[in-house]
Amino acid sequence: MFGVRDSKSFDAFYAGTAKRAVAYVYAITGDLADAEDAVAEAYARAWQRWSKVGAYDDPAAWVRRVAYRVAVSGWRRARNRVTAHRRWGAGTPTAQLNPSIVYLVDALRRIPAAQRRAVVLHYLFGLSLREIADETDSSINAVKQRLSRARQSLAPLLGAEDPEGRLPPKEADQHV
Amino acid sequence: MFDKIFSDHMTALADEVSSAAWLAPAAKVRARGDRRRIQLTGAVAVGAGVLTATTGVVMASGGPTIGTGGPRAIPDTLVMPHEGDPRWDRDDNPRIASVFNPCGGEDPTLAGRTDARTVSGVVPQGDQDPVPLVVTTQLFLFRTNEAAEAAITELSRRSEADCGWFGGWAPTMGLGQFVVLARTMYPHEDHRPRMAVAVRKGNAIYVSHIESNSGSVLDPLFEYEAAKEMNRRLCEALGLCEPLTCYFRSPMPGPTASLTANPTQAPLDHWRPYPCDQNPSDVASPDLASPGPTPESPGESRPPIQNPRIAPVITEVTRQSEGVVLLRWTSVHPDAAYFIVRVGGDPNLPIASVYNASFVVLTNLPPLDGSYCFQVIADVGRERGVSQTRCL
Repeated sequence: MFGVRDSKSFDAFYAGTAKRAVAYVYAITGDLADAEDAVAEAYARAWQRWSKVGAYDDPAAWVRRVAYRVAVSGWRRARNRVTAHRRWGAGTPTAQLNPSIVYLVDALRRIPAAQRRAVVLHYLFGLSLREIADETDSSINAVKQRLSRARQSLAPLLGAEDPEGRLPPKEADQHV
Repeated sequence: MFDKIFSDHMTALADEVSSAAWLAPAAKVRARGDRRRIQLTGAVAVGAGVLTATTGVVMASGGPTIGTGGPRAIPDTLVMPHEGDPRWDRDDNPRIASVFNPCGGEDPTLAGRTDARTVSGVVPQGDQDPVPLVVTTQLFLFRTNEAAEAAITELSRRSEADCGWFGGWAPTMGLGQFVVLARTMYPHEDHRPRMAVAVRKGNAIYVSHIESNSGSVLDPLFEYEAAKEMNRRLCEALGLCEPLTCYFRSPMPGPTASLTANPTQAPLDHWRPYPCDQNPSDVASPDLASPGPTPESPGESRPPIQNPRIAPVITEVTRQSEGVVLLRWTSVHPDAAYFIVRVGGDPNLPIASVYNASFVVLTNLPPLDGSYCFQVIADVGRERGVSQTRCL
């Protein structure tokens, strides 16, 4: 489908996947401006290689990997603050995120990064253990362990402090 | 059960972010990929400077630091941003006029100049304006560091000289210590807005000048990324490397020992350095929040005068996300510096400072048990006004 560097196919791909990619990076980093810029950078790089990336079975996975690497770069994080400032300086209103979402992301930030990445890929994109292992360059057992530990950590965090009270505190199951 | 609930939470997160996230148009993303010259914008805009609580644009240092000498000629190994791009022209005339010359008249970059290179072309603005911008980048080399410093100091002086330009020193941009950022005032007589940034590294000055033929409002740092890239290339190709130091504006003349290493740095004596990996509030500063006269500190002979008439009014305190707060206030004076104090934090130290701005985005604030409460303190000359406290 994406065998050539075709702007229409890229635009359609971008329109269909970018916002979820932002959600992914935001869930990882907890900073919406960081997420937006990292995703834009990842898609720009995808466009550079679109004849190749577009031919992948799952180009969105490629973009997610790049966006993740970009987002965790300290240099870029510093620069992204600047991007956020530009947005405010230009007077463009940015909707405030729902507190329950902010709270969820805060809980995610309290668990190790590898666990956070695994749990977000699993629950946001519905990736299987193997797919997560491929995307994170890990073994399936490692992913399984991360998901299990993430559940154990997140359940009490969210259940005990969720302002909406929607997450009961002892719902964590141990199986993957 | 956990799976279902957590999946629902993640779906809600995706929906929420889809509504709140700002995404560039696809064409702009493609242009970014095509050019590798990212249109990073914003930061310390002229007239809207922003310095966050942990601001400091960290740039990799490395290589030798700038010495007293420097190259006299631009080597072929140095490639300017955009150089070689289609429809971009290069001019190696060493006596070419500086495209950035506020007020006109004698070109301040000619004195002591030994070499120059100019690269010019047009770049698209994106979807919002089909008329491309005219971008000119120039590199000047001078016989000595002092000659380069004199030239950029004059560019800064003219930027502040009320001759149609507005700007001046901008060391908080993350491009280095000697940085001038300026733009033409609105409205423009010829409807051609211009904006320029000049950066001095050792005996070199790099100028990036942008001009709009459509009268559109220019993004203050349209070429910011190119300027940062030029910093890197100056280090690699010319050995003009400079470990980055971050700066915040000092509330008043005070100890500026780190800046006095070079006695000719007087124009920057209101800017105080701090390590880029630290919070500026970690740098000792005078008591800002006290309503009364402050104790004297070295270099400060008179206390500030409290003037309630220049007290800003905080108009907005909004939590953007965890540890990120937007603060807006009324501007009290075009030359005011503003210091943001977190009430309940260390009352003696500002957590951020901005110059000639009416907002700040505070990032990396620590998690709090209660509310965030802030004061904004305006500093104009030797007068000071303290806002009412506003909390989230």
